[in-house]
Amino acid sequence: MSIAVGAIAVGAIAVGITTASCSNTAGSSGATTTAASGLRGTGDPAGTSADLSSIRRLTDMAATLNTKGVACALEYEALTDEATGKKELSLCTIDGELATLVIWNDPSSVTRFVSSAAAAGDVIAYGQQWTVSVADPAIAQKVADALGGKAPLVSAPPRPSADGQGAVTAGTSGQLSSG
Amino acid sequence: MRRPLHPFRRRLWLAAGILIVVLGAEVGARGVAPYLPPPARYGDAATAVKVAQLDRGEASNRCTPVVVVGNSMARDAIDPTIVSGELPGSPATYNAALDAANPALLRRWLSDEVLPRARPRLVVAAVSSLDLNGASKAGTAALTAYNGAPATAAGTIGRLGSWFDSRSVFMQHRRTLADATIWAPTLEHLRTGTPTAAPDEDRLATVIGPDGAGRSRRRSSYVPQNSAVRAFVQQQLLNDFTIDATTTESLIDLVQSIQAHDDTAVVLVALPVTDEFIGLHPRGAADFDEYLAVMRRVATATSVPFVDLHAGALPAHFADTHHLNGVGATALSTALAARLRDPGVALTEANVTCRGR
Repeated sequence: MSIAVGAIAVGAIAVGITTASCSNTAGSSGATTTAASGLRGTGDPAGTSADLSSIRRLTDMAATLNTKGVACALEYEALTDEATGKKELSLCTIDGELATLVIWNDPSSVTRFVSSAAAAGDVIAYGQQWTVSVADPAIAQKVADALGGKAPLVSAPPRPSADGQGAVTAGTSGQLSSG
Repeated sequence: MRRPLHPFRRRLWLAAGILIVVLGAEVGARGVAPYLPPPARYGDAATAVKVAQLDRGEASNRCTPVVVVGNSMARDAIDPTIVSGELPGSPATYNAALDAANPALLRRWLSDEVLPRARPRLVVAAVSSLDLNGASKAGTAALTAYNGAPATAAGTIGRLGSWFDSRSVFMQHRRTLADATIWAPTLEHLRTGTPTAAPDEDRLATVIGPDGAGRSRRRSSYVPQNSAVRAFVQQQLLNDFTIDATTTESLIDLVQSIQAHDDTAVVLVALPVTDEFIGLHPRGAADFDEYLAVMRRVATATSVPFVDLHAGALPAHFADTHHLNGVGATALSTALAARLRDPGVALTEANVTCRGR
């Protein structure tokens, strides 16, 4: 009988090892979005350091967006670009507009990205280690609100559209204006 | 004092114990599976959705004489309903395109999943310049994910694992079961008796329609010089653009593997792109011309028609630099069907009727 119990224990350990080894790829963190301290030393172009959310997986980001009523189905799910500090990279369409979603390796990468985006007049929403790049400031704000991040207002130059009309950009006053 | 067991009986007990644990795990997994998140059996959710759609078609004995494959450009550009309506006999058409699918990925996807289920008479293979870029990060990542996914793993060991994965609910959910964070919501679903697993084919309803066609960019408009799009295209799709012998061979291999499956006909298609997209290739138009030349060469080498639709689309037809929106998809699908009826392809009702099952 003791041998049978031992056999069951061995089997259980084997199953445990199987599941444990698999969990390395599955990951276990990042299921929830939690508010954390601000992005220190970011050179925040908006000039504030409000609390920013921490999201460590794009699947969690998409799930949070969908839960908050911002439809976002990930495309190119398997992308990564370690050379540029992007731990996970994906696209989704939000309100008919393409959004580039990135989970960065560390907040300093976000700092650099936010600064360069601000300098270039690009429209983004960002958190501690995530960014979402879009073309429409209203969508960026919507994403930031849903994810607990920020969408710095930028005085972007008017973006040429396919029909020659300028796209909508955010004015420095925070009011949307047609560019 | 008890007599020690004979080594053979000891091993027998050990094997019996392991069997009990494994069977117990399987029975337990089957009981709790409806209350767990759907297992990630495929490289991405879109692949899982398309397999579920193909399974549903196969289960209902639905005939699908025409199948479209390619990457997300093909998914968004080719509307099966329009193509079907414009072809003789209105053959059922399914769009089996996958994100960032290069010829090597399409080879496996078609041979292992699509062709056995749909049994088409014609495969429309829309291959883009980025698909022939052997260095494409997106293409490489998609292939790696496909070859590493439980249900589609490559290699002998991988295929053995896939065999177990397709038969064991415990194997399918082993990663989920090891994730402690899912247990609280799972127990809640168990307590209230509400299953969590939505049918796979409905999981991406905003992105993929029931005929496999793309939906997410239908309402989008092309905004030139969008820095986020340009960065993505340059860094992930057209990075280090190279069309080498291996890439060309993989396209030939793709076409020949389709032809070898019940003499299925193949048409190669070049999809529309914007001038901006062509300009994003490292050598600009020279790289794009090289891609077109390879497409023509492969079409000649494999004796299949090449339908070149890369030029002529209006800016208003695009959702971004290289995906079509709803207006563009309607125009392209109509134009594609017309070209399939051309003398060069000569698609008739007779060669797109259903195969017997």
